[in-house]
Amino acid sequence: MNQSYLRSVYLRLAGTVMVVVMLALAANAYLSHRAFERALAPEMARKVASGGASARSLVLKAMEHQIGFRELYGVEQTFDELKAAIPEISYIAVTDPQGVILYQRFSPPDGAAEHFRKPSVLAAMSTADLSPPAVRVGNQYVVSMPIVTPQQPVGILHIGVAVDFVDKIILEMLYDVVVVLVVALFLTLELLNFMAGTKLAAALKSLGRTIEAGAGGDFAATRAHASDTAFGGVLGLLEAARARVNAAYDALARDIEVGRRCPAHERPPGLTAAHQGLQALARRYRFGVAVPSTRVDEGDLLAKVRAPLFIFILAEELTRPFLPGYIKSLLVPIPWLSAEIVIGLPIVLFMLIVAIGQPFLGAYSERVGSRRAMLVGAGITALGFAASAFADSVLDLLVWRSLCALGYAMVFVAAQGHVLEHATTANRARSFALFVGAIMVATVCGPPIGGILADNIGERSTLAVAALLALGSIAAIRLLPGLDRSDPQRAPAKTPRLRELGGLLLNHRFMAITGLAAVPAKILLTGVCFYLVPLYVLSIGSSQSVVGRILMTYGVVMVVVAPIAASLATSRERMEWLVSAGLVVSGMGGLLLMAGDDVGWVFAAIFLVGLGQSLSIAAQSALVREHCDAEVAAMGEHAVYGVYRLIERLGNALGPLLAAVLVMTFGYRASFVMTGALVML
Amino acid sequence: MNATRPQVILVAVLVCLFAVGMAGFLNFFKYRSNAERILKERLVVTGTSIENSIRSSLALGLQFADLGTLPGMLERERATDDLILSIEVFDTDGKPLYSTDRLRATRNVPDAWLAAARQAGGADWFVKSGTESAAGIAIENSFGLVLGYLALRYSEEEVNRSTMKVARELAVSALGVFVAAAALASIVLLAVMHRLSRDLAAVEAALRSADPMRPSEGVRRGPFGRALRRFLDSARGAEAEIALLRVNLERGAER
Repeated sequence: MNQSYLRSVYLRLAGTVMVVVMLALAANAYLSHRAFERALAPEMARKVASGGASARSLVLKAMEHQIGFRELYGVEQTFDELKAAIPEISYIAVTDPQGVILYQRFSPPDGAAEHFRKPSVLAAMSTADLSPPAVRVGNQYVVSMPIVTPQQPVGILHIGVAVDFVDKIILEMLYDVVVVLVVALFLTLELLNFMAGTKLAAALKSLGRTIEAGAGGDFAATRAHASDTAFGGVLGLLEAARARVNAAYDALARDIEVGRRCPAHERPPGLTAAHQGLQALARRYRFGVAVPSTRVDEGDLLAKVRAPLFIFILAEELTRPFLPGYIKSLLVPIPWLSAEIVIGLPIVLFMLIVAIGQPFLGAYSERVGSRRAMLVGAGITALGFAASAFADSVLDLLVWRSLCALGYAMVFVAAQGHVLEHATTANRARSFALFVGAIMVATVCGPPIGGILADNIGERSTLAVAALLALGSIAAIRLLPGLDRSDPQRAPAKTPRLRELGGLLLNHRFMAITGLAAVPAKILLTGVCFYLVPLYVLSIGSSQSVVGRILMTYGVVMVVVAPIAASLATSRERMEWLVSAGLVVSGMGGLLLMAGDDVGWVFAAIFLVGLGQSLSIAAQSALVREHCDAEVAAMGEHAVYGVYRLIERLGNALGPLLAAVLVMTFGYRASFVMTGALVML
Repeated sequence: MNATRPQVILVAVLVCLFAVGMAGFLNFFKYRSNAERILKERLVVTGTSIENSIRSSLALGLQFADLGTLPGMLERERATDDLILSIEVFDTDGKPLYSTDRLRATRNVPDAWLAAARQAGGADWFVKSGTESAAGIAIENSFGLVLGYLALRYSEEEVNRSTMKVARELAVSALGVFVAAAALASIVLLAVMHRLSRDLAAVEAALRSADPMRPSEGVRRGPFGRALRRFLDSARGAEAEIALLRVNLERGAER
């Protein structure tokens, strides 16, 4: 009851916030439209006046050569040239001193002829170089420039600009505003979960537990303080109802006991029946005093890790759309290495450190506690981001990104460790969903915001924002409990041994899943999403905001489809089907670039990559268990999955390297296609 | 429930702050980029008309360094736009050939200009550097050979002043929208929370009523109705059985 009810409460709260945010964004767009109109219309008028000045000087030059004002030749050609120089121009006309149109080109605004004859407009001819402000006429802003010879005023040059040039500017921002809306939705859910959800969930859980206990016949008295929770009043009454039943039973039991202590001849005749009834009652219901639970609410402890993890991963995800471009701007010649490979190096190094470092950092995290490991990791990462913002060349950036990788790996394994520490066998899957959920939501929110920030405040400032976020995550990490192992029976983390690694590398069943499914999928992910897309989209003249939006598509598809696909992976056949379909679909994403080369195709490609990855990601891990039963029995699940993750993450490192080599040899589009084909094969 | 309300309001305020803040941020940068684009295009339009005139003169066989009508034309063009501080024509080494500013005619153009001009090749170039900001155009002869550059110097401070004015206006409107949105979101969220409170209050009222074992229709249909009914049925069943046992016990005792 409490889960579905809580979900409905969440949805109602989030839906309400979203409606208000949409209204706010619409109001903001309306107000900014007005501000833009007020500020940009005069600027646009000055611009067209600059162009108009040269057209006017041509007219005056012709008149200097004694050509009559009404007999000018080539005026329309001059108007066309002016329009070519200033495409925003919608209409150009020259009128005589009475405001009668002599020459005109393009589409006149409604009421133009009447406007030109107005005394206020004709008064402009009194000053030779006057450039009056733009006046709205119909659907255009019209600038009227007097044409005055040294002898007399001869007419006016009118230039119109369609008022919708401001609309176009506002519409250009529409995609970014939609991005803000999507991110706001996820942010709302995260904040609700972090700030109010834990309390609400705890209160509902408490309420649900009390009701379920009573409904299940458990009336044993508890020592919980109902008033401490959000639903204290109701809980108190429910507990009172349970206590009343418990007290009635207790009183009856006492009376029966008193009766039983009496001599046999004094005992009431119904005593034996009542005693038997009492025993039957005790078998069906629970009375007395409940054993108090000493365990802290693990759900609460688990939920607490989500917020810091989200903020931390968000910091790294901010860099996705602009990092390759930033590296490119810091390129220095490195002997024996092409520019394409050097651009990929910081990404490769990052992935390599995360892959190799995680097993060792897992042991470190166990030793010092997940909270401390997360604090250290977030600190190192913040330092890495801050230093990356001040990088001079790609060489020092390599060092700073390595720091980011070390910190990232540390926080990742420590957060994973925290989940393992506080999850029970019953809620492990849900706990990991919480962990993966934080990462996925950050994957949705980070890239588009990073792209927008990089476009507007620059890559270096965005890296500084990432550093601030990493620092911000420290504040949230500090709320986590210290060194605490709630499940002492859980085996400690260990790094995969060489023997285990060798044994699994030679195992064809294990390698079929790892080498032919997991690694290609990761190569495609990092090669395409982290390397090819940011560089290719910029190379075709698009912006980093667009890269961010494209990468957000991947995250959104993963968030929506991955849980559905995971729920479908219930049998080995289904898992195999999902993995195969996933690889084919994501490979088709790469192949899609054969069809076209514009941004729309890249969007479609990333949609397919996301779809394919979300179909296969959960089934892949599950298949390892299905196919490697013997190995799991011999080496243990931890060892098998440790090696699986290690090899899979090495695929992450291989992706950008392979993509760089392909770009160097065949160019961007062919690299997309070949990476896709590799995965499909 | 009361403890959760401030947190829910805080969520609404933070989300509105993020959304309106980001939208305001986007508006400002969009305005700035468009205002700068319009300004650059405006300078380039003026520059292009001068460049066309120079080209015409060169096509007539005049020397680039010896265009007698050019200083007058530069002065006229400078006078048409109050943003332009000076118009300068310089050769490929940065040596000034013509300038509307006599003081600048004797010294080489800033290094940043020359670097930007060379980097742009034949395209338009721009330098942002306070009062030394400039929009520039390459001057080529009929064979496409770059002979020099034309720069229209302007003050960036003037541009910044107008940008800041619009920034203030956008900030004020964004603040207004934020306050209104945060207030509206808080009120509506409180209404949603009130509904939750009402559900709980109905349960509480039912439990406090004279006959809690018979909850009202509203409570039974509410979100807690089914679970509550099971709870009450169970409690009622247990109490009835205890009562029956007690009756049996006491009836036996009376006999």
